[in-house]
Amino acid sequence: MPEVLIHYFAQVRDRLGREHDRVTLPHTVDAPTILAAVQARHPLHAALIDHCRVAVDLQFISTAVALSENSEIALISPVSGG
Amino acid sequence: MRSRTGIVDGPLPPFLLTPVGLCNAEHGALTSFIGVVRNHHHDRGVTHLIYDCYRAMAEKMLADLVAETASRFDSKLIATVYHAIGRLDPGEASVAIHVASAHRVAAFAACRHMIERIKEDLPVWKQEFYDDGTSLWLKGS
Repeated sequence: MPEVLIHYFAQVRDRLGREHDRVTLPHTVDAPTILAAVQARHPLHAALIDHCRVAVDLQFISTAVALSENSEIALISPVSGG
Repeated sequence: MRSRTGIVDGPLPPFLLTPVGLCNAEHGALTSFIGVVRNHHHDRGVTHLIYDCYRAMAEKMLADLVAETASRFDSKLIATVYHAIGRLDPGEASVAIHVASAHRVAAFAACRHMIERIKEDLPVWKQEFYDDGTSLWLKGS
């Protein structure tokens, strides 16, 4: 199973107190699986994590995707650009 | 001129706030949207903002957004879209969109479409700093 970096930004990074985690995930994953893996690492912030979308290799995912060791995952909390 | 997009450290410089040179002979309309930092939010005084960003994804998304907008509204459309990150003070520009299109309807619609997509999806986050010394990450736009 690939070990991948999950990146955090903004309020998620501040609340978790770290910029990323290295997590082992199945070869094929969907967003709920990734969010659950992060929640298992940071159970005190489960509600915050629940509101995040997931990006894999710079794109939001809505279905299961295949991962490799080089996959880049990010948690995207509600954005506020503009 | 080709379409250009990007993420810029610090407030957007003046040359990105004007559409000079964007139009060519095929274009009959030019629209612009400039987002500017306010000094207030929900009756609170705002001293400055800090924008955080997932830069690699944001840069890809802006480039993809212009291509998607052109395919949707006008294949001859040319646009520049830039978003600032880092510290910005009130009055400084955070986002600049310029669209040159054959007709006004497409120019207005494309400009509106792109700022709304940025508000919905661009991985950029705004932290507001208030005049009472507190700060807050804004949730959603």
